Amino acid sequence: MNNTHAFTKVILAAIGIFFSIRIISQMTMALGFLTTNPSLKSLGILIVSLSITGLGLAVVCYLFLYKREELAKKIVGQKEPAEPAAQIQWLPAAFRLICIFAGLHCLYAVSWRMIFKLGQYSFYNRPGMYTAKIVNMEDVLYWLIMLTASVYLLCGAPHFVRWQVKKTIEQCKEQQVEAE
Amino acid sequence: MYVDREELEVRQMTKVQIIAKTLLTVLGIYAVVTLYRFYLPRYAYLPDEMPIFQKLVLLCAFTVVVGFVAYFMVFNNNRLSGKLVGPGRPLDRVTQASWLAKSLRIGLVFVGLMLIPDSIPVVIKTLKLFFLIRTAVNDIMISKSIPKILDLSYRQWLNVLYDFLKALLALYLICGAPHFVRWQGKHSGQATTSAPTIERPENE
Repeated sequence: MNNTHAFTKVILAAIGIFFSIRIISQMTMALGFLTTNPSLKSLGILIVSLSITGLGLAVVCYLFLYKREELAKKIVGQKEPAEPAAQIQWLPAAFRLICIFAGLHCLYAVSWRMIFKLGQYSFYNRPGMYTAKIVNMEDVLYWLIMLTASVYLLCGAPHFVRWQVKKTIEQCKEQQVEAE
Repeated sequence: MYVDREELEVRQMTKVQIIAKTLLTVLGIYAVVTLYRFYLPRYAYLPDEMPIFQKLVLLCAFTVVVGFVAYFMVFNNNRLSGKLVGPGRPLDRVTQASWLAKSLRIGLVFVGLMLIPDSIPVVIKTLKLFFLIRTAVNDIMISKSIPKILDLSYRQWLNVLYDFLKALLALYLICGAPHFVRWQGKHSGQATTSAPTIERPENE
């Protein structure tokens, strides 16, 4: 294991702990649905919300805490690179790590909004309350775009990372020439 | 060209100082975006009777404060990062240029990606606007009235402007903010080591 591997493992564990805490805090919000409107429907919504957040928590813990060794190998690459390549090896790894962090951030944002909408539905959908159209086309489009973006980012955003690395190296060379 | 010795020390940076500089830039951009996000809801509580001129003056005063934050954390952070990190072995100019570009780009792409969840609704609303243009033009031409989508209060316009600028900023940062990185590269290290230096007077 080289330095980049060790560094990546530490960052992955930090990402895992950070998002686990955020997801756990979100779970308490879901529990509020049952207290605002105690009914069978609210119980169903609570179970769905807890399943979404619980599944997220399980995936985050499994990937970022339990299987971080394998994940780090996938991010950095298994083979020991040749000497010139070793210097720039950390660059795609760093970009991939921030993409994974951003992917989790997007997934968290979309799940929070979904649960918020479920909460609104649970609160307003009872006798004597104004029942507005809670979910509209804009929300569905937002969820779809965000889910696609988060899945792409969680996969390491290969095209984006490749493009960024290429552009960064180009800019570095340009600035090195200017500095000389 | 003569360069102040203290200024030269600021411009020759260590690796840790470059990382500190990147962190300051990232935090500075995030601070500016967050400060405006907190200001706009507070703005909603200002009394309606307050003249719009006073509201604009308040906005300008707030912008000046945010401008100071941006100046010292984003644009002119060499001295601050130097003070945070302390002395060390400075890099040569070529390595410094390379390190600075790499670390700044990583940091800026990170901030850009963090702004994605707030920027997607702006993109969707902009796309939606294309479908509403026909109705808006009809409203203007036939009933000679301001279309519903443009009939917003000053506060709502401010929010729209903020969201739109934030989405643009996110897009620029995701692209790696090449102009900003280039400018920082020039601002942080060039034409210094070759220039003769002058000592700062003792009594200054």
